[in-house]
Amino acid sequence: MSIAALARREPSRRRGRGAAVPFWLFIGPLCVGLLVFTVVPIAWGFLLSFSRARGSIALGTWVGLSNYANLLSDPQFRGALATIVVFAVFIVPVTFCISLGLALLVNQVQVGRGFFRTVFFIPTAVSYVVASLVWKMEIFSVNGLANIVVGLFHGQSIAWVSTPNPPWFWLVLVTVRLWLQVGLYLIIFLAGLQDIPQHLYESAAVDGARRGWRTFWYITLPQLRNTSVAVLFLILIAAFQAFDEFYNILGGGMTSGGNATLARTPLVYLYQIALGQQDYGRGSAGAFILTALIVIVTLVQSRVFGFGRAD
Amino acid sequence: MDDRRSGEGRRPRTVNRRHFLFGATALAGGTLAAACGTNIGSGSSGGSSGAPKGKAVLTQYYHEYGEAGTEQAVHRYAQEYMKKNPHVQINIEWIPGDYTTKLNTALVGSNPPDIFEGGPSLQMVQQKQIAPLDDLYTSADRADFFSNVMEQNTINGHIYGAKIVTDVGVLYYRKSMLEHAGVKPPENSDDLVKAAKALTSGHVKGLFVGNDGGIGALYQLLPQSNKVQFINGSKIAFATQAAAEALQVLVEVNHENVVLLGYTEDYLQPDAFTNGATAMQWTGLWAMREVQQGVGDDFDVLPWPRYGSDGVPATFLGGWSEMISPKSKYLDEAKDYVKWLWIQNKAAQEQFNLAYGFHLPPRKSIAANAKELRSGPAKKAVGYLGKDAYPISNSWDADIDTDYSDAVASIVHSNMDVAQSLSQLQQARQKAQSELKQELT
Repeated sequence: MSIAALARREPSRRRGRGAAVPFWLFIGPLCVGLLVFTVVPIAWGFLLSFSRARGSIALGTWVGLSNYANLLSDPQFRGALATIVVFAVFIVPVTFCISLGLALLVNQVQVGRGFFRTVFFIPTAVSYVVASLVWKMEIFSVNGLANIVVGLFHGQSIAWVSTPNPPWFWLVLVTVRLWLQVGLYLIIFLAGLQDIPQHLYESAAVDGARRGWRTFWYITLPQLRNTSVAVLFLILIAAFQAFDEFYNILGGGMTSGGNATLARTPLVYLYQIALGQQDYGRGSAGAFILTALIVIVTLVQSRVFGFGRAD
Repeated sequence: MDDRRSGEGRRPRTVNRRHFLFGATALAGGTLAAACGTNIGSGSSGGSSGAPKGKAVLTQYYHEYGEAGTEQAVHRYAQEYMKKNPHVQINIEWIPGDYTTKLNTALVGSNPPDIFEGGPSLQMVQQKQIAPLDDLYTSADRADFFSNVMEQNTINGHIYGAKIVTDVGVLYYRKSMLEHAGVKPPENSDDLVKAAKALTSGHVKGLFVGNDGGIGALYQLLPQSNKVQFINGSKIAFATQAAAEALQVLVEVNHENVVLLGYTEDYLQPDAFTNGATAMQWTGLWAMREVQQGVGDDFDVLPWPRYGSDGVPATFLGGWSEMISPKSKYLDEAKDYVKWLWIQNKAAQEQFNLAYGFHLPPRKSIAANAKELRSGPAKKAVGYLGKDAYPISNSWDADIDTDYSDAVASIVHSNMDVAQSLSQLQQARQKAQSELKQELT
């Protein structure tokens, strides 16, 4: 290496050393936080899933795979997994289509686009617990808004949350989730839509294609592929992690426990096992089974939709 | 003078990278130091850590009682005790929301609360989460507490709790509505179903037993009203013909659409009853004062009616007991405080049970002499506590409870008959039995 080259490298090394200190000062706390509050609990939880840990989070009483076997043979847990798969199959495409549809509409608006964007996004900032209670106590209670509307059409008052046949409770659960989540995905789609080069539409227009279904199908949707796949991932993961609205609307605490069985998600059941029954071994095993399920479904989804594939 | 004025006429100060880095580091360090600091005031979250020198610091958990004045009362009791015992400091944590989850999480940590509310269970004893309190009771004390209350707090021959408040469930009914419908107060389950049907009219339902149709409120009570035991020694005993028959009451009232569903408040609050949405409601004695305010004298109470002609009236035995962690650094001080407050201090016990809400004092002598309990529906409720309230076995844990309550929910939601119900209960018993076996070994 020449003297000149060494001379050129020396300041950059000093710069590198100088930059390392502030880098670690900023990143260090984050890394420590991540390690202490995320990595260690995950590792500890993984070890707990192989332990008999009732009323204790201490390791030591190893039971091999029996917590996993116990849960996989538990009809209640299997029922919860089936519930969440059915829920995901329904909620993922519905959330996707509504978000995309609203984003297309908002994108068309010439005046007040910011207003509509804000209006649709605001529910995202609302707590799931608060929204669930409003849905349960104000909209879908016996004297709530929904029954007032039913009454206008001379219908009988409906027990929306408690009726197993027909399962009206799904309407309550799905609508609250849509209200809470659609705004976020709408914003993501809107960003994707605004990133589509206008000349594509102009070229299409020159070729005789009118704005509408054809340009949506042949230009908009293909251009939104990566955005769409990312949104699908997010909706899917959020669906499998459903907890708050199920717990707060159907119950799981002290009262109306009977409604909880109408649609119990894996997280609600695992919450009961770990924090209600204090069986942290089985609770941890269930969390890893659910994680594995999410990973598998996500991998399949990414293979099907070709996430990350070059355009 | 504000910052803008003080800078007037000078070159605006800029924040360079070094200043920013220094400030950010100082802020982060300060936040970390604040987060790690101990708080020995009334809000400390752990057990007896961070004690001032020479003082026994006790952390005491309470769930949030709904009645106004209760929080101030427990602080007052603690202050009174600390005045008499200056070497003790009591930090009270008043916990709203999901108390049980917070308590369970704290109990598995290394620094659990010294004193906490709940109900003792075999699992808690096995996990060494609660200390025996036999030495707190004299033989006179033991005789003065209601026997079923003592039985509830006794596990393997040792007492693990000091009852703070006792609650029983009662069936409130509107006298005028029953008279108007020509219905007599129900004495058995058949009467109850008939009454619920007769009292259902328009928007008014005959019976309110919770927004889940009574599954959560009655899943244990109904079989109890037909003399069903849930655990018999080391055997799960709920899968019987008698239990399946008793649960048909729940199936029928739901199927006939005579129970109120989807009300804003659940059965623990009396709003549906006082607002006239239902003619009969199952809730706790604690609601009596609100009921009196809402409907005056136009109500009376009953225990849950017996099943058929051979059953027995039933009610739940609820309430809260004080327990002590064996991990407490100040076990003796914690025991002394619990003994002083919830065993010896009869004035505080009567006040806490009756001055704010409406609970039954767990001591017979207090219940017998309290002015509020000497007449009317309240006097009847004291009688229900004495003879109709049955504690469930301490071996009944959350696992078994989930198995059983899920089976009852399936029975009601699927409108099962007796044979199908029995089959459902037998399936639940299989799982519950293996869990009980695990628990007992």
